[in-house]
Amino acid sequence: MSDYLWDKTGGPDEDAKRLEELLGNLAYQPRPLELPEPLPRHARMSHLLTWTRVGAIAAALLLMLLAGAALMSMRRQAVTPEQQATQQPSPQLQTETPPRYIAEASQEDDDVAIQPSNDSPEIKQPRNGSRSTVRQVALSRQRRQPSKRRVNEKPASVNQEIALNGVSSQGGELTDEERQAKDQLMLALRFASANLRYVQEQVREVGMTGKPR
Amino acid sequence: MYEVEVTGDLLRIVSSNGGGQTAPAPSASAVDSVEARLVEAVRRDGDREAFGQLYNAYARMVHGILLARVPYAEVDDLVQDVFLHAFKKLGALRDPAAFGPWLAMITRNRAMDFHRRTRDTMELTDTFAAAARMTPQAEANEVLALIRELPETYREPLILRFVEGMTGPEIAERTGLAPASVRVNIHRGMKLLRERITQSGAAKERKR
Repeated sequence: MSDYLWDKTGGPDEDAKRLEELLGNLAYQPRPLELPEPLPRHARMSHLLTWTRVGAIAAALLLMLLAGAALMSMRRQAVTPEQQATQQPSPQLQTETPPRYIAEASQEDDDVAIQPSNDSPEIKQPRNGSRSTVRQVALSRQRRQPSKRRVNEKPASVNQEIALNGVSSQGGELTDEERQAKDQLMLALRFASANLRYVQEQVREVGMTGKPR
Repeated sequence: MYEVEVTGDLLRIVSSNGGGQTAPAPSASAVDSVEARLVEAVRRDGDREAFGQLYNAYARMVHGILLARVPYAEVDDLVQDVFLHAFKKLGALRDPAAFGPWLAMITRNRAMDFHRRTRDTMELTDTFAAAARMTPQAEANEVLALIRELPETYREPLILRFVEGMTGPEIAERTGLAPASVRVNIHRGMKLLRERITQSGAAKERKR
Protein backbone atom coordinates (compact mmCIF):
# COMPACT_ATOMS: atom_id res chain seq x y z
CA MET A 1 0.00 0.00 0.00
CA SER A 2 1.33 3.38 -0.97
CA ASP A 3 2.29 5.93 1.67
CA TYR A 4 0.76 8.62 -0.47
CA LEU A 5 -2.65 7.83 0.94
CA TRP A 6 -1.36 8.33 4.48
CA ASP A 7 1.02 11.30 4.33
CA LYS A 8 1.30 12.22 0.65
CA THR A 9 4.81 10.84 0.39
CA GLY A 10 6.14 8.27 -2.04
CA GLY A 11 4.70 7.53 -5.44
CA PRO A 12 1.26 9.02 -6.05
CA ASP A 13 -1.69 6.67 -5.87
CA GLU A 14 -3.67 7.29 -9.06
CA ASP A 15 -7.08 6.79 -7.50
CA ALA A 16 -6.17 8.92 -4.52
CA LYS A 17 -4.84 11.69 -6.73
CA ARG A 18 -7.99 11.67 -8.87
CA LEU A 19 -10.22 11.78 -5.79
CA GLU A 20 -8.22 14.69 -4.38
CA GLU A 21 -8.68 16.67 -7.59
CA LEU A 22 -12.34 15.82 -7.87
CA LEU A 23 -13.35 16.41 -4.26
CA GLY A 24 -11.02 19.35 -3.72
CA ASN A 25 -13.72 21.54 -5.27
CA LEU A 26 -15.86 20.97 -2.20
CA ALA A 27 -13.10 22.00 0.18
CA TYR A 28 -13.50 24.72 2.76
CA GLN A 29 -13.41 28.20 1.26
CA PRO A 30 -11.96 30.68 3.76
CA ARG A 31 -14.60 32.98 5.11
CA PRO A 32 -14.24 35.57 7.86
CA LEU A 33 -15.50 34.53 11.24
CA GLU A 34 -18.47 36.57 12.42
CA LEU A 35 -18.21 36.80 16.18
CA PRO A 36 -20.83 38.81 18.01
CA GLU A 37 -19.82 42.15 19.43
CA PRO A 38 -18.92 41.94 23.11
CA LEU A 39 -21.62 43.00 25.50
CA PRO A 40 -21.57 46.73 26.25
CA ARG A 41 -20.16 47.65 29.63
CA HIS A 42 -23.46 48.72 31.16
CA ALA A 43 -25.08 45.44 30.09
CA ARG A 44 -22.32 43.45 31.79
CA MET A 45 -22.72 45.59 34.88
CA SER A 46 -26.44 45.02 34.91
CA HIS A 47 -25.75 41.28 34.97
CA LEU A 48 -23.46 41.80 37.94
CA LEU A 49 -26.02 43.97 39.70
CA THR A 50 -28.75 41.42 39.13
CA TRP A 51 -26.68 38.62 40.62
CA THR A 52 -25.59 40.79 43.53
CA ARG A 53 -29.20 41.62 44.31
CA VAL A 54 -30.29 38.03 44.05
CA GLY A 55 -27.45 37.03 46.37
CA ALA A 56 -28.33 39.72 48.89
CA ILE A 57 -31.99 38.73 48.94
CA ALA A 58 -31.13 35.05 49.32
CA ALA A 59 -28.73 35.80 52.19
CA ALA A 60 -31.30 37.97 53.95
CA LEU A 61 -34.00 35.32 53.62
CA LEU A 62 -31.68 32.64 54.95
CA LEU A 63 -30.71 34.71 57.96
CA MET A 64 -34.34 35.58 58.67
CA LEU A 65 -35.22 31.91 58.60
CA LEU A 66 -32.39 31.10 61.00
CA ALA A 67 -33.43 33.90 63.34
CA GLY A 68 -37.05 32.73 63.24
CA ALA A 69 -36.03 29.17 64.03
CA ALA A 70 -33.90 30.36 66.96
CA LEU A 71 -36.78 32.48 68.29
CA MET A 72 -39.22 29.59 68.04
CA SER A 73 -36.90 27.23 69.87
CA MET A 74 -36.33 29.84 72.61
CA ARG A 75 -40.07 30.36 73.06
CA ARG A 76 -40.69 26.66 73.25
CA GLN A 77 -38.06 26.33 75.96
CA ALA A 78 -39.60 29.19 77.96
CA VAL A 79 -43.25 28.14 77.66
CA THR A 80 -43.19 24.42 78.14
CA PRO A 81 -42.74 24.20 81.95
CA GLU A 82 -45.41 26.87 82.50
CA GLN A 83 -47.84 25.20 80.16
CA GLN A 84 -47.34 21.99 82.05
CA ALA A 85 -48.07 23.81 85.30
CA THR A 86 -51.24 25.51 84.00
CA GLN A 87 -52.61 22.48 82.25
CA GLN A 88 -52.45 20.35 85.43
CA PRO A 89 -53.01 22.83 88.22
CA SER A 90 -55.79 21.25 90.30
CA PRO A 91 -54.18 18.50 92.31
CA GLN A 92 -51.30 20.52 93.62
CA LEU A 93 -53.22 23.78 94.31
CA GLN A 94 -56.22 22.15 95.91
CA THR A 95 -54.35 19.73 98.05
CA GLU A 96 -52.15 22.49 99.38
CA THR A 97 -55.00 24.89 100.39
CA PRO A 98 -57.38 22.66 102.32
CA PRO A 99 -54.92 21.59 104.98
CA ARG A 100 -54.54 25.26 105.95
CA TYR A 101 -58.19 25.81 106.88
CA ILE A 102 -58.56 22.31 108.08
CA ALA A 103 -55.83 23.15 110.49
CA GLU A 104 -57.60 26.40 111.49
CA ALA A 105 -60.84 24.64 111.94
CA SER A 106 -59.26 21.90 113.92
CA GLN A 107 -57.78 24.52 116.22
CA GLU A 108 -61.32 25.86 116.86
CA ASP A 109 -62.98 22.59 117.16
CA ASP A 110 -61.45 19.20 116.91
CA ASP A 111 -64.81 17.72 116.06
CA VAL A 112 -65.20 19.49 112.77
CA ALA A 113 -63.86 17.49 109.88
CA ILE A 114 -63.78 18.82 106.38
CA GLN A 115 -63.13 16.59 103.46
CA PRO A 116 -61.16 18.46 100.85
CA SER A 117 -62.58 17.84 97.43
CA ASN A 118 -62.65 19.69 94.14
CA ASP A 119 -66.14 21.20 94.16
CA SER A 120 -68.11 20.78 97.38
CA PRO A 121 -66.20 19.96 100.45
CA GLU A 122 -68.49 18.02 102.66
CA ILE A 123 -69.03 19.52 106.14
CA LYS A 124 -69.94 17.19 108.87
CA GLN A 125 -72.09 18.47 111.65
CA PRO A 126 -70.22 18.69 114.93
CA ARG A 127 -71.30 16.26 117.46
CA ASN A 128 -71.82 18.93 120.05
CA GLY A 129 -73.61 21.23 117.53
CA SER A 130 -71.29 24.27 117.92
CA ARG A 131 -72.53 27.01 115.55
CA SER A 132 -69.46 29.16 115.82
CA THR A 133 -67.32 26.41 114.47
CA VAL A 134 -69.53 26.03 111.42
CA ARG A 135 -69.41 29.77 110.79
CA GLN A 136 -65.65 29.68 111.00
CA VAL A 137 -65.49 26.97 108.43
CA ALA A 138 -67.83 28.85 106.11
CA LEU A 139 -65.78 32.00 106.47
CA SER A 140 -62.63 30.18 105.78
CA ARG A 141 -64.28 28.73 102.66
CA GLN A 142 -65.15 32.23 101.48
CA ARG A 143 -61.60 33.30 102.12
CA ARG A 144 -60.33 30.34 100.24
CA GLN A 145 -62.34 30.80 97.04
CA PRO A 146 -60.91 34.21 96.05
CA SER A 147 -57.47 33.04 96.90
CA LYS A 148 -58.02 30.00 94.70
CA ARG A 149 -59.11 32.29 91.88
CA ARG A 150 -56.02 34.40 92.36
CA VAL A 151 -53.83 31.35 92.16
CA ASN A 152 -55.55 30.33 88.95
CA GLU A 153 -55.24 33.80 87.46
CA LYS A 154 -51.53 33.99 87.86
CA PRO A 155 -50.50 31.43 85.26
CA ALA A 156 -52.84 33.01 82.69
CA SER A 157 -51.19 36.41 83.09
CA VAL A 158 -47.80 34.76 82.96
CA ASN A 159 -48.80 33.01 79.78
CA GLN A 160 -49.87 36.33 78.34
CA GLU A 161 -46.59 37.86 79.33
CA ILE A 162 -44.68 35.00 77.73
CA ALA A 163 -46.70 35.27 74.58
CA LEU A 164 -46.08 39.00 74.35
CA ASN A 165 -42.48 39.24 75.43
CA GLY A 166 -41.16 35.76 74.96
CA VAL A 167 -39.53 35.76 78.37
CA SER A 168 -39.61 33.37 81.22
CA SER A 169 -42.34 33.42 83.82
CA GLN A 170 -39.97 33.32 86.71
CA GLY A 171 -40.13 36.97 87.70
CA GLY A 172 -38.94 38.18 84.25
CA GLU A 173 -35.55 36.64 84.94
CA LEU A 174 -33.99 34.69 82.06
CA THR A 175 -32.47 31.31 82.63
CA ASP A 176 -28.98 30.61 81.39
CA GLU A 177 -30.29 28.74 78.37
CA GLU A 178 -32.68 31.50 77.49
CA ARG A 179 -30.01 34.13 77.87
CA GLN A 180 -27.70 32.12 75.64
CA ALA A 181 -30.40 31.70 73.00
CA LYS A 182 -31.18 35.41 73.17
CA ASP A 183 -27.51 36.27 72.71
CA GLN A 184 -27.28 33.95 69.72
CA LEU A 185 -30.35 35.49 68.17
CA MET A 186 -29.07 39.00 68.67
CA LEU A 187 -25.73 38.01 67.16
CA ALA A 188 -27.45 36.46 64.12
CA LEU A 189 -29.56 39.56 63.63
CA ARG A 190 -26.55 41.84 63.95
CA PHE A 191 -24.68 39.68 61.44
CA ALA A 192 -27.59 39.75 59.00
CA SER A 193 -27.89 43.48 59.35
CA ALA A 194 -24.17 44.01 58.74
CA ASN A 195 -24.29 41.73 55.70
CA LEU A 196 -27.22 43.54 54.20
CA ARG A 197 -25.58 46.89 54.80
CA TYR A 198 -22.40 45.68 53.08
CA VAL A 199 -24.29 44.33 50.05
CA GLN A 200 -26.30 47.52 49.84
CA GLU A 201 -23.10 49.57 49.81
CA GLN A 202 -21.60 47.32 47.15
CA VAL A 203 -24.66 47.63 44.95
CA ARG A 204 -24.65 51.41 45.36
CA GLU A 205 -20.92 51.51 44.59
CA VAL A 206 -21.29 49.37 41.46
CA GLY A 207 -24.24 51.43 40.33
CA MET A 208 -22.29 54.66 40.66
CA THR A 209 -18.81 53.75 39.48
CA GLY A 210 -19.47 50.59 37.49
CA LYS A 211 -16.78 48.82 39.52
CA PRO A 212 -17.01 46.98 42.84
CA ARG A 213 -14.59 48.02 45.54
CA MET B 1 5.83 39.61 23.39
CA TYR B 2 4.51 36.10 23.20
CA GLU B 3 1.70 37.20 20.90
CA VAL B 4 4.17 38.01 18.14
CA GLU B 5 5.77 34.65 18.62
CA VAL B 6 2.42 32.90 18.65
CA THR B 7 1.24 34.71 15.57
CA GLY B 8 4.41 33.82 13.73
CA ASP B 9 4.14 30.15 14.64
CA LEU B 10 0.54 29.95 13.74
CA LEU B 11 1.01 31.66 10.42
CA ARG B 12 3.60 29.07 9.60
CA ILE B 13 1.20 26.33 10.61
CA VAL B 14 -1.63 27.79 8.58
CA SER B 15 0.50 28.38 5.53
CA SER B 16 1.95 24.89 5.71
CA ASN B 17 -1.56 23.37 5.85
CA GLY B 18 -3.41 25.92 3.79
CA GLY B 19 -2.61 24.83 0.26
CA GLY B 20 -2.85 21.11 0.90
CA GLN B 21 0.71 20.82 -0.40
CA THR B 22 3.47 18.57 0.83
CA ALA B 23 5.06 21.03 3.25
CA PRO B 24 6.08 19.28 6.47
CA ALA B 25 3.59 19.73 9.30
CA PRO B 26 4.89 21.09 12.62
CA SER B 27 5.32 18.67 15.47
CA ALA B 28 2.25 17.93 17.58
CA SER B 29 3.78 19.35 20.74
CA ALA B 30 4.63 22.67 19.03
CA VAL B 31 1.07 22.98 17.75
CA ASP B 32 -0.29 22.09 21.20
CA SER B 33 1.75 24.75 22.92
CA VAL B 34 0.75 27.40 20.39
CA GLU B 35 -2.90 26.41 20.65
CA ALA B 36 -2.74 26.33 24.41
CA ARG B 37 -1.37 29.85 24.50
CA LEU B 38 -4.00 31.08 22.08
CA VAL B 39 -6.76 29.42 24.06
CA GLU B 40 -5.42 30.96 27.25
CA ALA B 41 -5.34 34.38 25.61
CA VAL B 42 -8.95 34.03 24.52
CA ARG B 43 -10.06 32.82 27.92
CA ARG B 44 -8.13 35.39 29.91
CA ASP B 45 -8.63 38.53 27.81
CA GLY B 46 -11.39 37.56 25.40
CA ASP B 47 -8.76 38.03 22.68
CA ARG B 48 -10.73 37.92 19.45
CA GLU B 49 -7.64 38.00 17.29
CA ALA B 50 -6.29 34.89 19.00
CA PHE B 51 -9.59 33.16 18.40
CA GLY B 52 -9.42 34.21 14.77
CA GLN B 53 -6.11 32.41 14.52
CA LEU B 54 -7.62 29.28 16.02
CA TYR B 55 -10.44 29.59 13.51
CA ASN B 56 -8.00 29.77 10.61
CA ALA B 57 -6.15 26.72 11.86
CA TYR B 58 -9.22 24.56 12.52
CA ALA B 59 -11.86 25.67 10.03
CA ARG B 60 -10.90 22.95 7.53
CA MET B 61 -11.24 20.25 10.15
CA VAL B 62 -14.64 21.52 11.23
CA HIS B 63 -15.75 21.83 7.61
CA GLY B 64 -14.66 18.26 6.85
CA ILE B 65 -16.35 16.77 9.90
CA LEU B 66 -19.57 18.56 9.05
CA LEU B 67 -19.37 17.59 5.40
CA ALA B 68 -19.26 13.94 6.42
CA ARG B 69 -22.62 14.37 8.15
CA VAL B 70 -24.72 17.24 6.81
CA PRO B 71 -25.68 18.55 3.34
CA TYR B 72 -23.05 20.60 1.55
CA ALA B 73 -25.32 23.66 1.36
CA GLU B 74 -25.59 23.80 5.15
CA VAL B 75 -21.95 23.31 6.01
CA ASP B 76 -20.68 26.90 5.79
CA ASP B 77 -23.31 28.25 8.16
CA LEU B 78 -22.75 25.39 10.56
CA VAL B 79 -19.00 26.07 10.59
CA GLN B 80 -19.78 29.56 11.84
CA ASP B 81 -22.20 28.17 14.41
CA VAL B 82 -19.62 25.74 15.73
CA PHE B 83 -16.96 28.41 16.20
CA LEU B 84 -19.44 30.78 17.77
CA HIS B 85 -20.44 28.09 20.24
CA ALA B 86 -16.79 27.28 20.93
CA PHE B 87 -16.03 30.95 21.56
CA LYS B 88 -18.82 31.16 24.13
CA LYS B 89 -17.97 27.89 25.84
CA LEU B 90 -14.19 28.11 25.77
CA GLY B 91 -14.17 28.64 29.54
CA ALA B 92 -15.48 25.10 29.97
CA LEU B 93 -12.40 23.59 28.26
CA ARG B 94 -10.21 22.14 31.01
CA ASP B 95 -7.06 21.40 29.04
CA PRO B 96 -6.19 24.22 26.61
CA ALA B 97 -3.93 21.84 24.65
CA ALA B 98 -6.96 19.67 23.87
CA PHE B 99 -8.69 22.37 21.87
CA GLY B 100 -8.74 20.30 18.64
CA PRO B 101 -10.45 17.19 20.03
CA TRP B 102 -12.83 19.38 22.00
CA LEU B 103 -13.77 21.33 18.88
CA ALA B 104 -14.19 18.11 16.89
CA MET B 105 -16.61 16.85 19.55
CA ILE B 106 -18.60 20.08 19.43
CA THR B 107 -18.75 19.77 15.63
CA ARG B 108 -20.06 16.20 15.73
CA ASN B 109 -22.66 17.17 18.31
CA ARG B 110 -23.72 20.13 16.20
CA ALA B 111 -24.18 17.86 13.17
CA MET B 112 -26.34 15.47 15.23
CA ASP B 113 -28.32 18.41 16.50
CA PHE B 114 -28.87 19.58 12.94
CA HIS B 115 -30.37 16.23 11.97
CA ARG B 116 -32.52 16.15 15.09
CA ARG B 117 -34.00 19.52 14.26
CA THR B 118 -34.55 18.95 10.56
CA ARG B 119 -35.81 15.38 10.76
CA ASP B 120 -39.44 16.45 10.97
CA THR B 121 -39.32 18.90 8.13
CA MET B 122 -37.33 17.22 5.36
CA GLU B 123 -36.16 13.88 4.13
CA LEU B 124 -32.43 13.23 4.15
CA THR B 125 -32.37 12.02 0.54
CA ASP B 126 -34.17 15.15 -0.63
CA THR B 127 -31.66 17.29 1.22
CA PHE B 128 -28.73 15.58 -0.44
CA ALA B 129 -30.43 15.80 -3.82
CA ALA B 130 -30.99 19.51 -3.32
CA ALA B 131 -27.38 19.93 -2.27
CA ALA B 132 -26.30 18.09 -5.40
CA ARG B 133 -28.26 20.43 -7.60
CA MET B 134 -26.74 23.43 -5.89
CA THR B 135 -23.11 22.46 -6.34
CA PRO B 136 -21.40 22.84 -9.72
CA GLN B 137 -19.77 19.46 -10.05
CA ALA B 138 -22.25 16.64 -10.16
CA GLU B 139 -19.52 14.04 -10.27
CA ALA B 140 -17.92 15.33 -7.11
CA ASN B 141 -21.26 15.23 -5.39
CA GLU B 142 -21.84 11.68 -6.50
CA VAL B 143 -18.55 10.59 -5.00
CA LEU B 144 -19.31 12.54 -1.85
CA ALA B 145 -22.65 10.76 -1.64
CA LEU B 146 -20.85 7.43 -1.95
CA ILE B 147 -18.48 8.37 0.87
CA ARG B 148 -21.43 9.30 3.03
CA GLU B 149 -22.89 5.83 2.51
CA LEU B 150 -19.77 4.27 4.02
CA PRO B 151 -19.66 3.35 7.73
CA GLU B 152 -19.22 6.41 9.93
CA THR B 153 -15.72 5.40 11.02
CA TYR B 154 -14.43 5.80 7.47
CA ARG B 155 -16.38 8.84 6.39
CA GLU B 156 -14.64 11.46 8.46
CA PRO B 157 -11.00 10.56 7.71
CA LEU B 158 -11.72 10.10 3.99
CA ILE B 159 -13.36 13.49 3.67
CA LEU B 160 -10.64 15.20 5.70
CA ARG B 161 -8.08 13.48 3.50
CA PHE B 162 -9.61 13.95 0.03
CA VAL B 163 -11.82 17.02 0.40
CA GLU B 164 -9.87 19.11 2.87
CA GLY B 165 -6.45 17.90 1.71
CA MET B 166 -5.17 17.03 5.19
CA THR B 167 -2.56 14.33 5.68
CA GLY B 168 -3.11 11.33 7.95
CA PRO B 169 -0.83 12.59 10.76
CA GLU B 170 -2.50 15.97 10.59
CA ILE B 171 -5.96 14.42 10.88
CA ALA B 172 -4.84 12.44 13.91
CA GLU B 173 -3.28 15.43 15.57
CA ARG B 174 -6.19 17.79 14.99
CA THR B 175 -8.99 15.42 15.91
CA GLY B 176 -7.17 13.79 18.82
CA LEU B 177 -7.60 10.31 17.30
CA ALA B 178 -4.82 7.71 17.44
CA PRO B 179 -2.65 7.89 14.27
CA ALA B 180 -2.81 4.12 13.87
CA SER B 181 -6.63 4.20 13.87
CA VAL B 182 -6.71 7.02 11.35
CA ARG B 183 -4.31 5.16 9.09
CA VAL B 184 -6.33 1.95 9.22
CA ASN B 185 -9.59 3.81 8.65
CA ILE B 186 -8.23 5.71 5.65
CA HIS B 187 -6.97 2.55 3.99
CA ARG B 188 -10.07 0.46 4.72
CA GLY B 189 -12.33 3.34 3.73
CA MET B 190 -10.42 3.79 0.48
CA LYS B 191 -10.80 0.11 -0.31
CA LEU B 192 -14.56 0.23 0.30
CA LEU B 193 -14.88 3.44 -1.71
CA ARG B 194 -13.15 1.89 -4.71
CA GLU B 195 -15.61 -1.00 -4.59
CA ARG B 196 -18.59 1.36 -4.37
CA ILE B 197 -17.35 3.53 -7.23
CA THR B 198 -16.88 0.45 -9.40
CA GLN B 199 -20.38 -0.78 -8.53
CA SER B 200 -21.84 2.63 -9.22
CA GLY B 201 -20.05 2.88 -12.59
CA ALA B 202 -21.28 -0.55 -13.58
CA ALA B 203 -24.84 0.40 -12.63
CA LYS B 204 -24.62 3.51 -14.82
CA GLU B 205 -23.34 1.45 -17.72
CA ARG B 206 -26.24 -0.91 -17.34
CA LYS B 207 -28.72 2.00 -17.41
CA ARG B 208 -27.26 3.25 -20.67
